Amino acid sequence: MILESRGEKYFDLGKLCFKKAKFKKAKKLFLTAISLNYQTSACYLHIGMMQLLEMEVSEAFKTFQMVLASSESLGEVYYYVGKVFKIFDNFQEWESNLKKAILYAEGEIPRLLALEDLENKVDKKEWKELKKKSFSFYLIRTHIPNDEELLKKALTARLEKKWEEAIQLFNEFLSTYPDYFQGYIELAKIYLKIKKPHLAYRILKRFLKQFKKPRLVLRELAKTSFLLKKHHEAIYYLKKLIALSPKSPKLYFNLGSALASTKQYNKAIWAFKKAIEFNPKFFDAYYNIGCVYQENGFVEEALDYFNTALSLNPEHAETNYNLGLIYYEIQDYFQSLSFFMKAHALNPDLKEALFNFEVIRNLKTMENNVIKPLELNMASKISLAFTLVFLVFSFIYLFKWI
Amino acid sequence: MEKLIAQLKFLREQDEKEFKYHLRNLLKKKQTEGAKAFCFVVSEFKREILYDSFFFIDILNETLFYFFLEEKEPFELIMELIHVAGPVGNKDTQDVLKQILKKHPQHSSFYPTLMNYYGELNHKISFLEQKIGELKLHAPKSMIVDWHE
Repeated sequence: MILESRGEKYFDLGKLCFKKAKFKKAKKLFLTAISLNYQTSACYLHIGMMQLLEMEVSEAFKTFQMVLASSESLGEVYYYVGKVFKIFDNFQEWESNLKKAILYAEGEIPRLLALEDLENKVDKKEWKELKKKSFSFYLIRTHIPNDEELLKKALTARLEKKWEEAIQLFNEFLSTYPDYFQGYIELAKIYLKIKKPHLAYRILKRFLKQFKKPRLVLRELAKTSFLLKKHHEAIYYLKKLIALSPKSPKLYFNLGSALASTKQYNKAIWAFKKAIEFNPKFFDAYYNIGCVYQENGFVEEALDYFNTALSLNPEHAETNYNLGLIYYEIQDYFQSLSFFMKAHALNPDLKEALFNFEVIRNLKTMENNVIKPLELNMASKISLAFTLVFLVFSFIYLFKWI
Repeated sequence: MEKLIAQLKFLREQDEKEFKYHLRNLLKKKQTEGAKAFCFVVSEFKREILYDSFFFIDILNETLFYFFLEEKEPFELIMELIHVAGPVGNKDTQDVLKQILKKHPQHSSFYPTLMNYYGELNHKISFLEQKIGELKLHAPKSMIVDWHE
């Protein structure tokens, strides 16, 4: 009994430290609670969450596996396991784990976050069903801490797309609990959702100033800097992210886009090629390499990459359009016109394709396309005369010699 | 022949580019078989040839000139080809028409039509030559710079 109450004390303290992003201390407290045999699964779950937040993905996954294997398995763990699968680009597992989280999680926050992540990923009917389940499950907990209650309200408003109300609630959360890190991240996410990256950026900077833990918001920071066209900053954060998860094609793609925007084309091509290395069917990466090569005059390379892109997505109007220009450059006018025609057929708003088609047709109408007979200018006539004279003299010399 | 045309019509629905190349090949082949065979193919695919004239105008010009120089084919069939090539012609068509007009008797009933086509082409080309400065291609489409989650 005494051990349990001591364990509870350490666990509660650990949770408090976790909320304040004091992860080292929190980890120690949770480990002490585990040694006192108090809510082992919940302690490991929190340790896993901290590992995941600090981008120690494989360690976090192992810890979550321990939670799943234990007898007192917690439903919340599915949400975090799902997040790990998302990092590994396994979207099927991600989805199924989020659904499990909605069904089995006791806490409201992971349920709401899982529901939010599933929006637009499952069909509307299923999502409504999941929403119903996730909302009705509030009855499970009777004593919800005040901070979680406020966070729950804010997340619900965000789910309902009542942006102003959600922002107001998050601001209330931040003024009441300025030491809790989650409010900052969630508020930044709202600003990103309503396409106000400058406000998200401001919140994230405030977070950095307060917690000095960039790892927790690296992804958000990279995204906001990218959206705000602060490409050098985006490159900095993306490189850090890549160092933490070096096999993510999307991160390499984002890095490539940022590098190309700062005109570092060689590095951008390297990054896009890396993205292709980890995902050989990455259409956008092929297309972007084609664009970079085309912009720098490497027509053959651009042609290769655009053709591969086209084999992955033949209905992409812009690829067809750019191929039209490349074929024009290499003087294959039939192909060029075909691609412009196709580009316009695929996207009737792409008026440039139609314009280019007409320009080429008109240019070719004005040209003589038959092979012209050999015409000699003055220089070639003189040179031919000299050659003949030289040949005659050579013959005379040879004749005399014989 | 009819089977081949049916196949081509089927291909037209399936793969436009492939259809154009096959039609070009068929036209080239029919060029050696005489004006009647050639005109038959042209009349079967007149709409396509006129609409996508750029893809076929070189063959039309070449054939027209060839039939005219050979002097074996009836001029009515040559005129049939001119009716197709004339409105969509290019500088080569103009040259061919010039050659035909030089040798064709002025009292022929076809002469005014030929002259008309030649004048129209001349007008079209000189109009385009005046506008050559404006004939510039649009730039390539830029990269995809969306953030990938």
